[in-house]
Amino acid sequence: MRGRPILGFISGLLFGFFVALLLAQLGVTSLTTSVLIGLPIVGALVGLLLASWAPFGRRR
Amino acid sequence: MRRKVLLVTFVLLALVGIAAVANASVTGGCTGSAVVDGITYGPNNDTAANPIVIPLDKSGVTAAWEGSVPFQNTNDHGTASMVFGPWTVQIAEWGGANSEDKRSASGTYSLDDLTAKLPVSKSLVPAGLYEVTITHAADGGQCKGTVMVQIKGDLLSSPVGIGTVAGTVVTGLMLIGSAFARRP
Repeated sequence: MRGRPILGFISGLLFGFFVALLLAQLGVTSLTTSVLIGLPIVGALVGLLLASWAPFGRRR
Repeated sequence: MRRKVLLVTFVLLALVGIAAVANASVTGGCTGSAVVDGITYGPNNDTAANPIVIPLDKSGVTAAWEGSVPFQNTNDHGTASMVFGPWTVQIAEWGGANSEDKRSASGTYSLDDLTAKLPVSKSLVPAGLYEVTITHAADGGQCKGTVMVQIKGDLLSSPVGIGTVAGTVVTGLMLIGSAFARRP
């Protein structure tokens, strides 16, 4: 794990939540349970994956 | 490479979940319509692309509605509820003994009544797309349907909208920050 997994998990969770709210307010989708719960879960997983991949700031 | 594939898979799953949301229908054979701000809406307004538009920014707007059921309608009871994730807020309720077995009805619904039933004040209700579930049950049968409601307004005109945009930007930056490699 080269990145920051805890930061990735928490920020991904919150990012998914805010994206769900944003999509609803933009009229893309309604705030159903699958959107409001599903997107934060997907965001948290993406955050963990990004933290484990850590493609930025690597020394060559 | 494997991680990239996983990442793309999760993003695709999220998009498929969003697309699958708008698949509502009416069961039980009930029909109905409502005229809001001069436009007639019905059960077909059940997708994100074809919602019932609610001008919540205007005051004193009323919706003229009518509905009918194909079954014995004594001891009827119905509700309409807005969906907010796992929670619902009941915005209308009707019913009674209906001993005459009337199978159709009509009336008006004030949008001010709608805002009065919501848990926040009118100015704090964010614009956007909402799902409304409608149920009606009586001695002879029951119906259930879903329509999509679009509350008109600008994204940045409400505190909730501003907070949502700010939250998305800040948490997005935090997410990118988590992808920076730590120094050994």
